[in-house]
Amino acid sequence: MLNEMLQIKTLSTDRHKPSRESRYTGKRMYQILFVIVFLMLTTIANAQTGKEILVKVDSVMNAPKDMTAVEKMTLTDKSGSQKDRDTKIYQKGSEWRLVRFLKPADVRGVSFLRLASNRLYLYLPAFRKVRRISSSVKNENFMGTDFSYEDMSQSSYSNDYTAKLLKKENKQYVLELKPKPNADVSYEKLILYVDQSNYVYRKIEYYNNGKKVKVLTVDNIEKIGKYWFGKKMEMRNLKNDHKTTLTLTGIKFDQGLSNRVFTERNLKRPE
Amino acid sequence: MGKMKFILIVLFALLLSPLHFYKIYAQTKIGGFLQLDKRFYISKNALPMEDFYNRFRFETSVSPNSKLYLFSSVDFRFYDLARANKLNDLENINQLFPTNVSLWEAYVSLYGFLFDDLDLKIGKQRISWGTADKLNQTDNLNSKDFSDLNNFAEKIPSWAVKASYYLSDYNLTVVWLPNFEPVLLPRNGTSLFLGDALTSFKDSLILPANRLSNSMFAFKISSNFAGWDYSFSYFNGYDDIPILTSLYYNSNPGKAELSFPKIQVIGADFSTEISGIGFWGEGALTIPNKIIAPILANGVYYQKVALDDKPYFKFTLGSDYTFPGGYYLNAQWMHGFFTERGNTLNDYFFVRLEKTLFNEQLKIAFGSALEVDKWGNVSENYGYGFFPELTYQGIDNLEMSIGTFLVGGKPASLLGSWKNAKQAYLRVKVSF
Repeated sequence: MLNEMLQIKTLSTDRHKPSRESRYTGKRMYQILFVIVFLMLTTIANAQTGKEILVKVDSVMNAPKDMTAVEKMTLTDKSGSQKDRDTKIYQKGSEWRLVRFLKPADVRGVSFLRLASNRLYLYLPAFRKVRRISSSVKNENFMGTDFSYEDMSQSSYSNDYTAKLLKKENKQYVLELKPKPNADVSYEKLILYVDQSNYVYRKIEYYNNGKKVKVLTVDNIEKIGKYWFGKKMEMRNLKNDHKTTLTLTGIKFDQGLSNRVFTERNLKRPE
Repeated sequence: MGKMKFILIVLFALLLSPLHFYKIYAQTKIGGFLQLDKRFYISKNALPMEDFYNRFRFETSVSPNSKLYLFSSVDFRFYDLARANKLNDLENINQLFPTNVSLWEAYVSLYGFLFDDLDLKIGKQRISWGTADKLNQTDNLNSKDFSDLNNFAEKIPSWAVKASYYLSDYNLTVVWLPNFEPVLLPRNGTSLFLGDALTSFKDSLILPANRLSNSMFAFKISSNFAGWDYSFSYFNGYDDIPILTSLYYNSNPGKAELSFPKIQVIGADFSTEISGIGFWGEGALTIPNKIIAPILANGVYYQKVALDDKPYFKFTLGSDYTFPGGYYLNAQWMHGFFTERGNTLNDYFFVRLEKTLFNEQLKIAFGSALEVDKWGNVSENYGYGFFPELTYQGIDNLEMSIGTFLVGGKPASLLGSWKNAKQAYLRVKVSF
C-alpha cells in the first residue's frame, strides 16, 4: 500500500508531460485514492470508542419497553450447600422494577419496588406494611444473594461510568469502566466483556480497593422476539466463594405493562 | 318445559360444583409458622408471667380470579406454665397446658371493585398506618397486642371494611370499623402496662355498647412530592387502653370501673431519604372526650377529671443508614409511649445496630432504649433497656434466636417498672 502511494506521488509530479499513459495512470491514481479514503473512513467508523460501545450495551439492555419473568435464584456456598429462591420480576423502562418473592416460605410475599435510585420500597407481609428503604442499602446483598441492591437495579452503565476500550478478544470488546465524578456507585472499577455481535455483556468483573471482588457471567444468550437476552446469570463473590445463579424462565417482552404494576398498591397485592 | 329446563340447570350446576370446588381447592395456598419461644426470667422477683410463649399460625389463601382474594389465618398459642391452683385442676388438661385459639385474620379483597382504581377489603384484617419502624403513633385502627412484652409494638387484626382509591400518585383510604376491640395484655402481666394501682380493687370493664353509633371510622390520604412520601389521616373511635372512670373505696375490696375513652386522632407522616440516609416521622394529635370519674372514699363523694379534653401530641422521628461493611443503624425518638396520654408523655430513644455475617446466615443485633420522664431531673426519672439478639438463619424457613430483654431504671419509669420482667429467651421459628 505504501509503495503504491509513493508511486502515485511520483507519477503525479510529472504533470508537465501529459501523455495517454500518464492520463491513464492519473485516472487510476484517483481510483486508488478513493479506495484509500474509503478504507480509512471505514476503519475510523469501525473504531468505536469505549463510550459508544457502552451506550450500545445500555441500549440493548434497556431496549425492551417492559419485561416479566420468573427468576429462580440458587445460592451456593463454598461447601456446596444450596438454597433456592423463586421470584417474579416486572420491569418497565430502565428505572421501574418490582420483584416479588414466591419461595421459600419465610420470604414468600416479600416484595421490592424500585421507582428511582432513591425511591426503594419493601413490602413485609408479616407486618402488612410497606417500608421505604434508604439507598444506603445499595451495597448490601439483596435478600441473601450475591447481588447487591445496586447490581439488581443498575440500568445504565453509561450514566454512571466512563468507558475505555482495553482490547478486543474472542469476539468480545473488553471495556474498563470507572465511576464518573459524583456517580452514586459503590465499585471503583468494572471490566465488561461485551459480545461484538449483539452488544450483550457476557461477563462483568467488579473491583474495589484494587481487588476483583465479584464476577458476573451471563450465559444462555438467546434472541427472544426482537431482543437479545441472557437467560442465565451467575454472580460469584470471590471473598467468600459464595455464588448465586439466576435462571430466568417465562420471559415476556413488551406486553404493555401498566404503570399500575409499579405502585405501592400492587406491591402489597399477593401473586 | 320450563320445569325441565330448571332441573337440567340444577343438574348441570351440581355436576359442575365438585369440579369448581376441586379447582378452588387446587388453587388454595397454605402457609404459616411454628414459633417455640422459651423464656427464662432472670429477676429475683420475677413476675408470674407465662414463660413459654409458643405460637402456631396456619394460613390459607385463594384467589379464584384476578379480582378476588380470600385469606384467613388461625392463631394457636400454647404455654407451659401450669395454671393448677387446686387438686381438681390437675384433672383438667387445659389447666396444666393452657392454650388459646383465635381467628387471627379473615378477609376478602376485591381488586378493581366498581372502578379500576378502587380496592375493597372486608373482614378481620391488619391495617398498618404510619412510616415509623413499629413505633407508630398514627397506627390506631387495630388494637394493641401487648401479650408478648418483648414485642410490645404488635397489633391485633380488627374487623373492618377498607376502601382504597388510587388516583395518579394519590391514594385515599377510608376505613369503617363496626366493632371496638380492646388491648390484649400479657397473661398475668396487666400491671406492666396499666400500673399496679388497681390491683387491690375489684375491677369491672365497660366496653362501648355494640351500636352503630359506636362504630369507628378513619381516612387517610397519601402521596409523594419531590421524593417525600407523606400522608394525612383522621381517626374517630375509641382508645383501646382503658382508663379509670369510677372508684369506690367503701367496700373491701374497693370497686374500680374502667372504660375506653372516645378519641379523635389527626395524624400525619412522612418518609424520605437525604444523601442515602433514610428519615421518617409521624405525629398524632389526639383529641379525647373529657372523662370525669366519680370517687367515693371514706363516705365522701367527689369527682375528679380522669381525662381532660385538652389535645395532646405524640410523635416518632427516626432515621436509618447502612454503613459500608453491612452495619445497619436505626434510631428513633418516640414522644409518648402507646399507653401514655395527656400531659404525661415521656420520651423514649431506641437505637438498633445490626450486622449480618456469613452471607446473612448469622445476624447480630444490639438494641437499646433510654426513657426520660423529666428533662429537668433526668437522674431521677429515667429508664433503660438492652436487647441484644443473635439469630441464625442459615437454613431456609428456619430462624433460631437467643437474646435478652434487660430493662431497668427508676421505679416510676415505664422501663423501670418492667425490671421484674427481665428475661433471656431462646426462640425457634419455622415457616412453611
